Parts: sequence; structure tokens; C-alpha cells
Amino acid sequence: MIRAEPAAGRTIVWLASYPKSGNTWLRALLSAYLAPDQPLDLDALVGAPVQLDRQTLDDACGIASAEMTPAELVPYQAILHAELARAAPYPLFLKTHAAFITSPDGTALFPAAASAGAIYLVRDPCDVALSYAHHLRRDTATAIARMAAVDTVQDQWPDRSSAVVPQVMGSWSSSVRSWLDQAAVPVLLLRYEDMLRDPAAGLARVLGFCGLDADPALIARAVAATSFAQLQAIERGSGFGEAPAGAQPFFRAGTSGEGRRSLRPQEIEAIHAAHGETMARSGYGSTGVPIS
Amino acid sequence: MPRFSAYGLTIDCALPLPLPCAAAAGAPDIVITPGALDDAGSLPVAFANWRAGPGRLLVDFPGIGRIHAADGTRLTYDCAPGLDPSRIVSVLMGTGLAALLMQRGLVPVHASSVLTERGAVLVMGRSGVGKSTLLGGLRALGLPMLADDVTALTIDGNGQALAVPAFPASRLWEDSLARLGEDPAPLARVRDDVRKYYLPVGQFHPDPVPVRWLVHLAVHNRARPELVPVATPERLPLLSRFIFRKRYVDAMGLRRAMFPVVARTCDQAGMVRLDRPVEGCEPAELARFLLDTLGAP
Repeated sequence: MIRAEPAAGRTIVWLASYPKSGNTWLRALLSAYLAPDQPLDLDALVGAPVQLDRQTLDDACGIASAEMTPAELVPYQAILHAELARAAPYPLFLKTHAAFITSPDGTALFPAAASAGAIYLVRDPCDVALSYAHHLRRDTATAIARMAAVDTVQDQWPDRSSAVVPQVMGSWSSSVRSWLDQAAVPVLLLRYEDMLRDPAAGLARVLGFCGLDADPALIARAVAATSFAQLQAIERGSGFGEAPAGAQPFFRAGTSGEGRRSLRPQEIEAIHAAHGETMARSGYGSTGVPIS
Repeated sequence: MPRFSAYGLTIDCALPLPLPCAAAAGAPDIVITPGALDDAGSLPVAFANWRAGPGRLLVDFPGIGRIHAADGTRLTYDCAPGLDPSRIVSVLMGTGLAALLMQRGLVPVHASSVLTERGAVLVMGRSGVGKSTLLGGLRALGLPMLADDVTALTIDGNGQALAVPAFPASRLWEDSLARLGEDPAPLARVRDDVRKYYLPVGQFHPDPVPVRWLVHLAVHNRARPELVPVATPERLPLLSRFIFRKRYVDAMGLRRAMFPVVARTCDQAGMVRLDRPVEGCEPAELARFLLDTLGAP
């Protein structure tokens, strides 16, 4: 079984995924498991992407990151990742939507020396498309086009700055492949649909990968505390800082198969044409149902 | 060598500066020159991409080059081969100048600032929060600018905390220029492939002035801006948090030298937090709200 490989200075476990693939749910599960006696606070979940804070990067490296391209930033982000890894005990969970990229000088964005492992969450791209469109407040065609474009970058605007640094995501397929095709950082591939079918087993796999104790009673409690209905209720009650701007909630449906029911047939065809090979590789059949 | 003035200092720089500068005369306080930095000698503190020791800082910028700031007077740069010089100018004028200011006992604060009739108002905030845009709104109300992005603090012979002005220019993204009604077409870009521009500012106050207000600019998800007082025990840590490139302070052994400047500024100036709506609001409107609520003219 694949395992994370922590060592001195190698403390980060990346929670990597394309957007809307269950990353926040996994963070909630880990939070509820690791701090079972604390009420779940959506704005204080394990895995907060502190590495994306522009001020943190600028302070760490002495740069004005807003005036640099994503490619130019990679060596600096790698330096920050190594700093964060050195300063934290294992495991330091960090959420990312970035692909596993390398700068022209050969520096990996996610340095092996800082990265004990990564959990890559994958979800049927038809469901991702529907949820991503909702998140972007755009139509599904826009979401599908972004998921097909190899140069998709999140949080980048040509005419203004932002408080977080851009994340080079690439297409849905290139994101999945970038993580699975590298050998420097151990990766556990986790399907959202499997998590949904048996969240306790999914969480146990994550804990096993990380080398953490997997206590069945605590896992059951964490699963109960982070059911979709619970997460929606918490978001309604106290809000969620990572929710998209506007009134719509972050936790929308949390189901599988809705994309295939509500996308137009030609949209589903387009997704298969763009991503079929990678879908098959990550365990999705032509109907989007996980094969194994 | 081109000579200019910033932060009350006369600076000679071997590289042409793309931003508008105030002319200066007399002997230079700081000299910025190229030089080999392969062997910068022993520096006890090593962190991320930089090393430091008493009065010295050496920073490696992958893809850009290295800079060495020493004794508050010398800034040396070693460019990566084939690099567009504007790239190293950015780190020289940012990190390099900040390190020299610290070495000279000035405290660089991540704040834009203007002059009001009651003294300097500094707007502190994190990268990307909208300091330069609010500065544009304050300028639109007729207030002279002191600095965009980084304002220096010092104490004069009478123990008065002063804000020290920087350059007569503001750096603004196209989106902010549009909000301020400025046309980007005639302006120089910060770099060719970035839609951020140098806006020359005519109404610039070049001399140090007493600090009246420190405003922490933040973002909230409500519809209207709000001004919230900062309690006395929170002031010192808050201002310390916004020291520009603050990690170099301890590494260069400067904490004891800088603490009185920060403490006295907190004693003498008022401090508030300005929460602006996340969706943005008109810069001049936000500026008006700030000044009206502060009671400053």
C-alpha cells in the first residue's frame, strides 16, 4: 500500500484536487477526526491553503508577487513550501488546486524535500462541471471550457491584483495526470464517489496513507459530524469564508451523477472527448460510474 | 550616475529608474551599483532565499539575481544574465531599499500615506487589499501624497513620530486607474506584460510630517464600509505586523533600534481599522467616509 514518507523538513501532505471535487469535505472529515471534541468551524478547517496568501509569499521571499507571472513565481512558492514544511510538525495538510508543475529551471512547485505525500481527490468531471459552473456563477459551457483548457489558472486577472496568488490548474485531465505521472511525491488517488459511498472507508484510507491511527469509533463520529446536511447547516448558521461571492451556498448538492442527468448530451460528449482517457485511467467508465 | 531623492535620502543609482523621482543634490546617502556577489562573506542568519547579519542583508531572487544591502549606504546588485533591468529595479526599490532604511534606523511600513491638515494619515494593509486605490481616492479629495505602498517612520529630535515620504508616483492596476478616472494610455508600465502602471503624482509632499492616524485597511463581506477602533493593547502588535519585510528586522539585529520608533508612533497616533466591502466601492467615496469618520479635514 502506498504511504506518505515523512522525514525531517518533509512534513506537508497536499490535499490536491480540481475545484469542486470534495476537497473541503475531506478537510472537514480530517478536522472532525483530529479534533473530535471541538465543534466544526468551517473557517478553521485542517488544510487551509495558507501557502496561497500573497502577503505570506511576499514576506517570505522579499518579492512583489503581484508583478510576476505564475511561471516566475514557482521557485519562490517552492521556497515558501519548504519554509512551511520546516516550521510545522508532520502532518501539515495544505489544500491546493494547482497541478504538479515545474518551473523552466527545474524547480518543482511541490518540492519532494518538503512534501511527504499528496492525496489527490478526483470526481466525475460531469459533476465537477455542474458544481464548478455554480461556483463560478457562469454557465456550464464556460465551466466545461475552463476544464478543457490546458492554461486554466485560478485567481488571476490581467488588470488587478488579488489577496491570493494564482494557481495554475491546467485542464481537468492535465491536473490529474500531472499528479499521477510524477514519482517524487507519493500520491493516494481518492475518488469522490467512493468517499460518498463509504466515507468511513475513505477516511480510513487517508489516515492509513498518512500513517495516522484510524480509530473506528472516531471515524464514525467524524463522518456523522460532516454529513452534507451537517455542513450545509453549519454554512447556513455561521457562514463559510471560502464560499463564492454572492448569495449562493458553497455546499450545494454533494451528490454523484447529477451532472450526467442535467448536462446536455453534447456537453457530456465534449467532456468525454476531452477527458475520456484520463477518466478511464482514474477509474471512471463511460457512464461516469467508478469501475472498481 | 542618475541621482534622486526618496525617504529624505539622496540616492545614486546606476540603473535608470522607470518611476518618476524627485531630483536631489549634494553627496549621496545611498549608492546603488552592480557588482559580483558570489562571495558576500559570512552571514549568520540563513532563511528562505536570504541571509543576514548585523547591518547586512543578501537576497537571492531566482530568475532575477542577487542583491546585497549593507550599512544603510550601499546596495549592490548582480543581475541574472540577459535579464530586463526593470526586473531587478523592482526588488532594489522594494526589498533592497527597505533593508537600507532599516539599517539607517527608519521603519518601513506597508502603508500608503497622505498629508492632512492634522498630520499624516497612513493606510496600512496586506498586499492586494487596495491601499493604492484608496490612496487615489484620498488624492482625488485634494490631499497631497506622501508615499504609495511603503511609508517610512522615524522620530525627530523632539521625540515626535514622523512619516517620511517616498516617491512622487503611484503604482496602479488598470482596474484601479479606471475607478479613479485615469487613462492608462500615456503611462509607463511597471513591466511590459503586466497591466500595472506608474502614475506620476504632481501633488506630492516631500518632507516628513507628524503621524496623526494609522488606518488598517481590511475587507469585509458587508455592503457598507465601517470604521472600527483598535484597542490600545492591540496597536503595537498591529503596527509591527505591517513593518515592510519585517522578517529582516531581527535577522539584522535591529529590533532594539526599531522598537522605540514603533512604540512612539503607537503612542502619538490614533489607530483604526477600515473595513471596506469585498465587492469594492468608489475610491473617493471610501476616502470621504474615512476622513469624515476620523474627523480629519
